[in-house]
Amino acid sequence: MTHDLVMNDALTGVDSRAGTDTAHGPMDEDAFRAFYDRTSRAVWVYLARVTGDRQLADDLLQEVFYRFFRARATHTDEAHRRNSLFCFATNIARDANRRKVRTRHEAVPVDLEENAEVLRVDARVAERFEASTDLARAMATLKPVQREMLWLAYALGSSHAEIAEILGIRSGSVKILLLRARRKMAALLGRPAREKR
Amino acid sequence: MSECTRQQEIVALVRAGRWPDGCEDDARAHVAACADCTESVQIAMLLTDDYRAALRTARVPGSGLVWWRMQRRAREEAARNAARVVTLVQGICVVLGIALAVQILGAENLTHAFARWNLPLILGLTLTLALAPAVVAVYLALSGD
Repeated sequence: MTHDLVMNDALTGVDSRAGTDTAHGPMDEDAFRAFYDRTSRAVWVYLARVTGDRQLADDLLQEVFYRFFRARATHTDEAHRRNSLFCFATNIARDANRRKVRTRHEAVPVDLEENAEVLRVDARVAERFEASTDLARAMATLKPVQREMLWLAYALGSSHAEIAEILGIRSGSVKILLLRARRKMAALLGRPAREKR
Repeated sequence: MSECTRQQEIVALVRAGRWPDGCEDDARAHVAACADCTESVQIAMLLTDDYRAALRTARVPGSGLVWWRMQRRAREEAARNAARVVTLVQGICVVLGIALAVQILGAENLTHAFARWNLPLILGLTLTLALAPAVVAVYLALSGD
């Protein structure tokens, strides 16, 4: 794993040592920049996977850190601070997903002939951005909260308590919701979900 | 529905890159026998690989640039809030000024106006008009933003 990966592997505990000295009150510039360097890539990837849109993730990243910083909250430790950051990311991504749905309903029909070149470029870009992979398709089919859960649990390694805190749901519900999300994902990926016990 | 108690441990092995070669035989044997953990391993491997690949290609703006943009945006928001307060106070001042002018100009002379009308009220209006901008200025100077 590269240094960058370790430094940006939020919620994993790999970098739990980093930033522990600053994880209390509101941050000054140095503390903020160090925290941003540690977490920004993980947040960006989370936004990209949860919204299914890398360009949107670019736009939302700044918003997440801005709102997080403006909240001037105090945190007990680095993990608490990261969870709080991902909580902001989740809420902002949900808002963006809702706006996307509304915009899609109001979308103006595209002239395919006229925009053929643009569409070809878009297709190439989409291909490069893994949009055509099975995983991306399966993620796109899941409900937003299922995408968030699976990503937090399996990609970021969050515990059930952390997932509950980030997603704003009861801790006791995480286990069952995560199980359902995993089975749905497995079914979408062509691995038949196990029969209910 | 219930899930295997060893699932988080198995997922942690995958995320740490210790699956399948870097882990104990016991863990491998468990996964081979447990359908829940097999499914979790498959999904964890997919998502972890995707996460690592995405981290490598992620292009995020530098922390200095983000900090500068945030400061600029905070200043703009503070200026907008201040402008709102100033506009509100200006509106109140204009209304009070008009009320004062009507009272004074409506009377035959200034002495009569003070005598006929309520002296404390006129003085109050005049003081408010004079002090309101100062109060706003102090508020804006002392507010955190």
